[in-house]
Amino acid sequence: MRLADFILEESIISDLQAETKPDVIAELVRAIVQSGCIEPEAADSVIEALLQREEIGSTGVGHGVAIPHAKHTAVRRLVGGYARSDGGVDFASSDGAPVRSFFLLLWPEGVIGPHLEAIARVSQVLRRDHFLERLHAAADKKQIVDLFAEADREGGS
Amino acid sequence: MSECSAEIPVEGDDSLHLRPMQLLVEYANKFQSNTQAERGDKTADAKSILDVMMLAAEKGPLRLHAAGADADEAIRALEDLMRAELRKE
Repeated sequence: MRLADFILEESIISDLQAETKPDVIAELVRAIVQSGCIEPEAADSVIEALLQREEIGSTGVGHGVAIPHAKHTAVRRLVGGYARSDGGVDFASSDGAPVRSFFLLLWPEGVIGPHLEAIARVSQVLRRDHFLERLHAAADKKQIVDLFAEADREGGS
Repeated sequence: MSECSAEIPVEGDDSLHLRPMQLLVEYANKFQSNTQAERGDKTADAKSILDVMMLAAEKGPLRLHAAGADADEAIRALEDLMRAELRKE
């Protein structure tokens, strides 16, 4: 699985404005709506599903990374978005550090597996030497897109 | 120094979700011993979430290994935790 299989370029935000967990999720869902993968009228329900998942426990995994995720009937396949916050957002992560990188994942009801493959792929990419530092230092959206493309070209397991 | 291992089935749909992985790492970090988590042909440092997340897409049981002064205690705690968590899935 490649990052490009689930993170559409239109759903990449290089300058996240949100400063709270609900606002982060809403801003990312709006980007996915704009990419055409979710109907606008489903956005509120998708946001609600993602926030419900956060209530079980934060998807902030530490290292300045969070992976908000939920299954929902509004999507027909695994879709995702990426957002980078310059200032970082308190996401109640396990290490207490503010989150700068958000990988959001949505997949259809009744389908098992694709989001777990996506989580494995994200971890694979983030474990590359200095990848996270480069991601956080990227000057603009184009550099983020290029970094993801570079990771996808080089593959790895 | 002692070594200890355990194998835990991933029940239900064979899916290792993010929450149990986060808890595994949180608990593993409470012990001095080096701890490893294995699934399929992948081996992860159980104290690193970015490592453990690699196991999400693998299949089959979760195998845990600990080596160090508190290895027995670590494996007992991690096995109890994961047996409870992976039964919920």
